[in-house]
Amino acid sequence: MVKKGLFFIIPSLLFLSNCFNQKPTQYDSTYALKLILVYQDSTLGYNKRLANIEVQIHTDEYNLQNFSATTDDSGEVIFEDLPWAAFDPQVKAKVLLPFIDSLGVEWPDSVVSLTLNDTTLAITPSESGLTTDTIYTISATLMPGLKINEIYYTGPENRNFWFYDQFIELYNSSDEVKYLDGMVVCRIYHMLTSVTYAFRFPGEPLVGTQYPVQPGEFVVLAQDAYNHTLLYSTSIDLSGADWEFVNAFDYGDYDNPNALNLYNIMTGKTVDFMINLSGNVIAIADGSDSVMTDGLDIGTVIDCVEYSSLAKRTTKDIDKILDAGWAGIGNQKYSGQSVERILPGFDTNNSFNDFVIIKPPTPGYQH
Amino acid sequence: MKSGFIKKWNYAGIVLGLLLANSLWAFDNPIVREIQPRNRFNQYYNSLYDLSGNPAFYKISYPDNLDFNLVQTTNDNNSFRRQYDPRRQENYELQIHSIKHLNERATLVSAIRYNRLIQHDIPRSLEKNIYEEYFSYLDTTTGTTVYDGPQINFIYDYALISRLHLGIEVNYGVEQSLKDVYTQCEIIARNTELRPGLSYISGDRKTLIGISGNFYDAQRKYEAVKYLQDAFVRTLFGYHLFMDETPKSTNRKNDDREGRGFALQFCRQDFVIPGLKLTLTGEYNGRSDDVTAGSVSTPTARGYWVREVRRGIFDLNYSPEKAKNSLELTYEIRQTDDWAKSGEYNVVMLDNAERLNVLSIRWQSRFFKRLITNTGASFAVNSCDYQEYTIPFRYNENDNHFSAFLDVKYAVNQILSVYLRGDIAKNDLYFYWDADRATRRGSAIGLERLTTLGRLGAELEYCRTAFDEPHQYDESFGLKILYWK
Repeated sequence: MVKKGLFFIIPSLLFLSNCFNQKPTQYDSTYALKLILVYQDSTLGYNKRLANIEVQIHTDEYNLQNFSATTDDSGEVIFEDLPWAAFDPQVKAKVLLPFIDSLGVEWPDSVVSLTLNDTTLAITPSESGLTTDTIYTISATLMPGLKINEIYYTGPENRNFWFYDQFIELYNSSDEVKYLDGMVVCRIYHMLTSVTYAFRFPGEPLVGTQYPVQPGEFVVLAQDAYNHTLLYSTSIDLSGADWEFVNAFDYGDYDNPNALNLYNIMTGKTVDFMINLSGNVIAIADGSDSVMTDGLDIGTVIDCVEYSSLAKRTTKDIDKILDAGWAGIGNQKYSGQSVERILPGFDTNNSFNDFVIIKPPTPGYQH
Repeated sequence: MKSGFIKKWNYAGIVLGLLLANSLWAFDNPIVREIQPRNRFNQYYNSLYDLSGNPAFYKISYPDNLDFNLVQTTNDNNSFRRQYDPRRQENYELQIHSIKHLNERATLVSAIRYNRLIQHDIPRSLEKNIYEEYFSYLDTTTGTTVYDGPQINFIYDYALISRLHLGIEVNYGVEQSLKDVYTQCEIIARNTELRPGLSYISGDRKTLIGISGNFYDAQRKYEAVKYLQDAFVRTLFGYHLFMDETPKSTNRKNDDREGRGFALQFCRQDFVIPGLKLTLTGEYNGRSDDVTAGSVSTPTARGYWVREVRRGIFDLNYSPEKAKNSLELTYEIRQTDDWAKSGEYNVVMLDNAERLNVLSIRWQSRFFKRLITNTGASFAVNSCDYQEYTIPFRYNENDNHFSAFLDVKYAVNQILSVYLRGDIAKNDLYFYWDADRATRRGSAIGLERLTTLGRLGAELEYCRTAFDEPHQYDESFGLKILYWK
């Protein structure tokens, strides 16, 4: 009887002591990441590994500092003893490369200066604990022109849900004068077919020359060109803005006589140009398409930026050909933070790479 | 006359003992029950039930009926505190407890307790005690959190045959809390513990053996609302690593806990010499916590951790009949092992190994009919090896703990008695304290009076804890009012 009892009890006890998940065999901070840094451009004929370039890797998963290392002569860099996490490689470097002519011949004595930026969003660890990846970089000087350089949409730090100090900053990154005449600024909810607001610069689209923007010049478009610090000390002074959005149907809309006005062109819209505090698409277009009921013609778009505070998004609100990423991931409502291009006019058509979150906002100048 | 006098002391013992039983009733049942200086009936020895938690020993351990009611409040002022501790903490408690021996075979214990716990000015932590968690929720504000919850407790001890008892114990509690500032985190928690047990008594009634198990199941849901820039939510891993949760209108954390355990007990009365009782217990308990967080609808894994505790107790109690003195020696050895893995990757983020050795001695003496003194001391060494891997951190130390107490009970007359208790404890502190050592001095004064309806008691407690560096101290006040018959 006693033996039978033991046969029952002992296996039961052994079962009870092994009812949890098994302890993993690997420990954190044993992960290694090997990166190969490459600049590849079939048009210009480049396919080079980049030596002596500082590479930073950043993770949003934990409160960790960026890890930094420099590529060796073969363009490789190895990060060891890393925590297991998804890392975003961040490469922003000016390099001097030999000029390659149209026949594919390198001219070592003739160098070209390029500002390179990585194109990789995140690298997730492999189960082996060693991940190897190639980081392709692109030149940010490919697409000069009139750019949306900064967007301030979060509102200042306050407890009254106040956000009326929003602004958009434009920048002319080209070598020639650009003209704002007749251009439109749009807030887009989801894809080009759903334009929420459209405000237009005065003048004749495409041909007008009344409102020039010089190369390297910033232009500030304020929701209201007002010194908002008088209301909230955490806000910003936009009384010197170049332009402000005005809706003639909004009788309470502030109108600064010293700032030029962009006017609403969408029938039925009776409010000022307000943009979402978490995520939206902002586009500037040449103005040749002024009918927004059927959406904005993609051929007229000059620049377009999608911003979103949410991490790990998978769906875009704008075509990837216009913007492949999101600016401002992690930015928060009522934080007093804006998103601005890492360099004036820096545009790779991926706002994730092009923009950084800054505080305070910098209307009319670069951070 | 003499029996009445002794009975009164028994009642006084019952009252104070039940106060001490609170620790057994903590909302989230502890993985192992701590050995108290006094048992729940304020007798200065530990019964087999107290040492083992086997409900099949309840009738043998506590043979008298009792109806007991308690109202108590405590107020802790934490001038010196850890990073995530409240500045002040209030606790209000109502307890109703009944022990009924229904017949020769069956004993039923039923109890209900209601607690309101208010943690004032608690910085960042959304946990009741963040230092008991490895995956915790934080926000970035300081506020006051109120916890409310009832708990119920049943024990049923039934003699299957005269020498074989079957016992079942059920502890169940629900609790709700709310923080008064955004993120206005709301926590809803449910806690269930089931402890079955069997005990066997030898024919000469001097040898007892028992086996018991326990099954634990608990869930907690935290819901924090995003409101302002300064109120966003974070998950803390261990004590040095955190991640910012995605800012969204509502963030939720879920704790799904489960646990199992078993224990074996052996007790021999009149071991070697008459009046000497030997008790041996061995137990294993394990618990796991599966933590998910993020979106309300689709939370993602944050981590999984396991705690396993193995404990052995050796207890010798010398208490001959009609003797004026009794002595008890207790030795406890406890091994605690923790590990926690990342939610997203199959790697260990932290682990912890502790070995606790505790030696306690207690002496009771009746100097004359009206005066009983109890004194005791305890020395413990805790070897701790705690390691975090993600941000490398290691704490590998031996912490010493010493405590001593003196309890003097005096019967003023037939219906009134008073008692005084003083204690001192010196404890080496864990790494998350900003001090090396704390010295706690406590005192309590109480009285009990026989009335026409039953017995009424009151106790006032004061405790002061001083810290070596930087020379600050915490204070705690307590008031208890009791009624029992």
